[in-house]
Amino acid sequence: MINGMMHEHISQFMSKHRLPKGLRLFVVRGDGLLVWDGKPDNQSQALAALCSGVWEASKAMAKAAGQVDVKDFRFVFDSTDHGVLIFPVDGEGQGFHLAAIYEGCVNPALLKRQVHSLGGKLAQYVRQLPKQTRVFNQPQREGYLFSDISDDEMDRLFGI
Amino acid sequence: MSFVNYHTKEINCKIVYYGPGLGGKTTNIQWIYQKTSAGNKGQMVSLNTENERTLFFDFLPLDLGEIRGFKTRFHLYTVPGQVFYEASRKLILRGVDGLVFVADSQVERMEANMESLESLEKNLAAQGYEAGRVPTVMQWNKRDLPNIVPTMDLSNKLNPRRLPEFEAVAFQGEGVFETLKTISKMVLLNIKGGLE
Repeated sequence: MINGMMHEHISQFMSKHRLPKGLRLFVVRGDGLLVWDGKPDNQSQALAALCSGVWEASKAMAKAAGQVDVKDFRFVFDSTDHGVLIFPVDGEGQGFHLAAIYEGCVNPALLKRQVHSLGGKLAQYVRQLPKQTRVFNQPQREGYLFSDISDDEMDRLFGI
Repeated sequence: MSFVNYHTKEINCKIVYYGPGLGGKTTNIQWIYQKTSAGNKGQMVSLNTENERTLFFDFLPLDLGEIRGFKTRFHLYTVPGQVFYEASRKLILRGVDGLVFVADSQVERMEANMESLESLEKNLAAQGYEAGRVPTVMQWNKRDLPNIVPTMDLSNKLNPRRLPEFEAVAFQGEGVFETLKTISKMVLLNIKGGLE
């Protein structure tokens, strides 16, 4: 996970909400970095990248159709009982997405409403967190993280 | 995009493989995927057309080891090379930390290489980047083919800034990891934000 503190906060938040069965929820930063995944596995990061890609592509299409403000938009790709939902969540300063993949759902309309409402509560929760923990972006620091890296260190990084 | 998590000591970076269509960008990523142990990679995603051309992007998350206590994670993306996917290329460049320009060494592809390089600079500018400030490595791919441009000419025409360059035969893995290692190092050295 990209941000330990945010991950913990979101885990805490999710644990207080009863989520429908057959639902996989994840939280993704606008640029495709995974923040939290309810069922992490080796697909998690790929799903996060896809979520962000789908959102950006949809946004570009909406803008081509003259929609400049898309903050109330959502992405829905579904069939009768399974599908994908992406909702933008305004985390104050840093946009992120709450994405859901569901299957075997008896009442998809209700589920969409639940996920949408959860996104709203999550945004509110994030905004109430102390500022230093509410970081989807890294804090601004001076200078560079590494002043030098040797070729040996790079070889070790790549397992050579 | 580069994200340093000082709390969990993790670094996340985005590297984009850019270049003309059929130049070997996806082949680079596929080779890296094949040769990386299961524990160090996530699922590779390829959004292709029916005839296996990249439609939107390829994506490969790589969890490498640690460097000075920081766990490093590289997200590798390729752009679709075909000319009409300009909008997709623009989107994928968002948040880029490092670039690999994969040029096709064949004589008849020089024009396509130059067009692609021009489009890269234009798209970087559209995203608010200055081409010279984004760590970039040049790869001259398909060096095994008979009708290729000498590397000196490729350098003169495509690499006026004298960026690091590598010869490659991506489908055989030649030059693939050398390119990746160099761009990774350049990206890591470019990460802003010193330790407090």
